[in-house]
Amino acid sequence: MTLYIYYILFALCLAETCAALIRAKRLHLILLGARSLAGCFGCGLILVQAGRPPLFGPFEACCALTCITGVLALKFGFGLKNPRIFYTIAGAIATLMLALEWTSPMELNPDYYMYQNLWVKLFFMFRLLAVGFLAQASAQYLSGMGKGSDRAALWAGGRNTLLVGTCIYLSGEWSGSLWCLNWLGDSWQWSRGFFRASLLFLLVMAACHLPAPKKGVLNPVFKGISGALPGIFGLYMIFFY
Amino acid sequence: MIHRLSTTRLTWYSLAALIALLAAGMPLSLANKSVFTALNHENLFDWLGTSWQEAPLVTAWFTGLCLVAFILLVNGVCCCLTRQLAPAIKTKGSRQWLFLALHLLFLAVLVCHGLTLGLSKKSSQVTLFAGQTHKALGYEIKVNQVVFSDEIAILTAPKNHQRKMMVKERVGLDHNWAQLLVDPKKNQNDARTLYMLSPLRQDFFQATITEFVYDKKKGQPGITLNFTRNYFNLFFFSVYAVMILALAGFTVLTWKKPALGR
Repeated sequence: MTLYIYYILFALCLAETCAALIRAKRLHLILLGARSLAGCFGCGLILVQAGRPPLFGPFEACCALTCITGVLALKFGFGLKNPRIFYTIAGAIATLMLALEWTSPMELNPDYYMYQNLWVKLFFMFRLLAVGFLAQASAQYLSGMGKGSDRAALWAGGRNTLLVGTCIYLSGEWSGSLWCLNWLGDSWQWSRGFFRASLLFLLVMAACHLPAPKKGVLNPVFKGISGALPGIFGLYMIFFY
Repeated sequence: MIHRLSTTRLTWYSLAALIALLAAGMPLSLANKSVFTALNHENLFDWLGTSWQEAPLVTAWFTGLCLVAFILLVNGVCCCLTRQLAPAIKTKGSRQWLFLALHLLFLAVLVCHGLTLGLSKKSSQVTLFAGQTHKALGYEIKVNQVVFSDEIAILTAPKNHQRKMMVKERVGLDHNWAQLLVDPKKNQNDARTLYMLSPLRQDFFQATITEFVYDKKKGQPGITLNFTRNYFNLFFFSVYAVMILALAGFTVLTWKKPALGR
């Protein structure tokens, strides 16, 4: 069953990206809605089968992230005059995300016994939700690099989504620190997980503190890539754990 | 001077340097696992005393990381004083005050990380069985009882198999526990029960079960404990939570006019 959901999600995301690219507006919206629903159905299935929400592992992340990014793209895209580039990039990110899952096992993550603890659950749930928002911010920032009339809306939307994602991410890190304190006696320890978690937050901070140039305006490519990096790194963290 | 130290340019370069150093830390920690494990288990100054001879590259990396974090801290303080405080007083707007508070709270979290690193006391990876006593960080600990109700095979399996076996169906957080007595001479009737993820806390002292173990010769389960004394935990978690709330508030207040803070 999980394998079927994965293939359906992949087909829908790929078709949605192509539809956005060829300007088939109505078809694109139907496909975007369908992939959000399919992702939501995947999350529901995990809830029924495992008795918990999606928490960890690429397959669980695929269902949760396609659902979150789909809903966010639908909501944001309606406010744009010419959303084609944004929709194409948002679809491409979702397709790429699903392609990353290709090499991992298409199954639910074993129910690790620590998942029974509230702070552990919150840590993983918030992290998935945050990466969904940060990935959406990536799509907004990358599409804002173009010269279209929607640039201001894309920059502002990207900045807001980035900050909401950061709030959620930090809530997850707060829960994770409590987990670490209860498990190892310290609120944080030097580990690969700590380096990655800190890197993501620092990337957000760097995107929010871009130095203003001495002359002229900030290079849009620099700004776009800086805003997109946290989401891209977040996806890397989830899929290459 | 203070003006130069408060620029966004310095903030960005400090952040870029921190990003580079943390990224370098990942392969470095893989190549020097024992050095990083020691950094987690030992008091910082004890670790520094030995590491600069054993692993000079890691020590140089660590010193660089601390130095850049300190530059970021100084930059943050200067920025708050010169660029954020005056506009907040002048305009009396909640956005400006929240912007300033957000930065001050982040600096407090950064300082807490530094204080935790430098001043917390540790005695780590102490394995004890029922009946044994151990002195750590000024406390005498006696283990009265260790109970492991789940399959003992999980504890005797090789480490790389253990993780796969430790699923919800086979291990319960409240199935396995240990009874500890802190200062047995003083409090004979004050035994405390510890579970995984449910440590013993007394003042600033914490005794934490990191894992259950099994002695095949004695045929009895035991526990591995980390003893820590940290004065800043409550402050750290409180400031961290308020910082998240401040960021959420700032995001809401600047939703439609995001010029402040970009």
